[in-house]
Amino acid sequence: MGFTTLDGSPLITWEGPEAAFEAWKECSRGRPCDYTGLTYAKLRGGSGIPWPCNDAHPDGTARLYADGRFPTGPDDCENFGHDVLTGAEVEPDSYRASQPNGRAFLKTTQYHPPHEEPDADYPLRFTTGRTAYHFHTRTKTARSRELNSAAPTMWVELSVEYAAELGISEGDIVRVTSRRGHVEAPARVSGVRPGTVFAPFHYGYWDSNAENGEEGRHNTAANELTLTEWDPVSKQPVFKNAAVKVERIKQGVGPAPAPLTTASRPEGQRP
Amino acid sequence: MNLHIYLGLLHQGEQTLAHSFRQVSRGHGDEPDIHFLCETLAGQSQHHVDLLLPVVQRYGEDGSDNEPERLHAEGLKETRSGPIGLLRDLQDLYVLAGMVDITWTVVEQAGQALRDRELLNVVELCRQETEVQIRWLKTRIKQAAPQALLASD
Repeated sequence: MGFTTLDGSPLITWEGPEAAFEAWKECSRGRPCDYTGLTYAKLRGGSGIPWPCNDAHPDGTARLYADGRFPTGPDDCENFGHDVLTGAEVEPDSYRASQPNGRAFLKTTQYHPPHEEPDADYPLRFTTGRTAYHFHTRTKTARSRELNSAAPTMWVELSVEYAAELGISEGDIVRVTSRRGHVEAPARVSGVRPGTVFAPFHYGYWDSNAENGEEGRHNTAANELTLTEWDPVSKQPVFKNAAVKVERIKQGVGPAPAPLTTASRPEGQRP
Repeated sequence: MNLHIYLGLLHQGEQTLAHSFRQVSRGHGDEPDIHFLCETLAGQSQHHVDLLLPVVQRYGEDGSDNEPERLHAEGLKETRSGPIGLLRDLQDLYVLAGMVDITWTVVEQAGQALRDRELLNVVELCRQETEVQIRWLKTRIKQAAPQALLASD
């Protein structure tokens, strides 16, 4: 692509993966995660070489900040941090005035309840998460026959107490609805906390297409039930809490397709 | 003693700020962080009003001091729209919060001169939160400004 450095020499001097790795190592020189001591041979020799790995620490560094000094100096840190509740930036002058001197900061804030809590209309707490067999939306793990068959399709988890209250048996098809969307899936009566509904977020649009006749909107995308909100500092979306209601739609044709080897096993069954 | 005049200003200022945060929260729901944070901060300002109440009851308050009002802070009656509108609304909040902040500063000086522990406890909490509100507004205004000024129609 003709990229050059300021003196006109070629920017990219590598061809092949190992040479690119060498160039990347140089980028890390002197930074907190200094990789300059890593080599292909070292990576092949074992696993787990924690940074920094450089001339001073040729085998990596098992424990960072063991001397109790942190890179919090105003001229070392990459930003001056944020207020935990709002994400407001800490101003440079006030950061300097706090004189970090190698000390770490522990930040606190008062408890603030979530912006949606269970209520009379949506009485249950909804939380999403993963199963051991899949990663995110399964774009890789669903291509492995073993992983895919371990957890092939969507389910939701209800507590023993709530399932009994609504007359829902293992495998019955239920609809879980929030103010923003719904999912329909077989119910697993699991050890989930009473008052809480769990749904895996792995199932949604990625593998629905015209070929298998599932064009258009999907009813297994768990994150569609959650609020559009994120943590003001880390910007992580608030996928772990919403208020929902549950209805039984019809009888199932067998147990829910949830793994029996993980937390999704039926309540009372040992792994 | 004229403390009651400033307590009146403060009470009214926090109430106006709470309403205005709520107004911006409702008016800019398509910016989810603005929506939820302004709601939280509206609650915070409302809490300041509640905390101030016992002090106001002791000293009284005067919402109509004899000084001519040259700069009115009536708060946001409605929100604007679009990227520049959001910026202007946040800037209005910034001005209102600045008003509240300097009023707390003045009241704090009176509290120290009176050695009024109850008043100073209220000031300590509220001033800190007001300071963070201002910093958040500045942070969010900085974030919105380049897009609003250069990239939108």
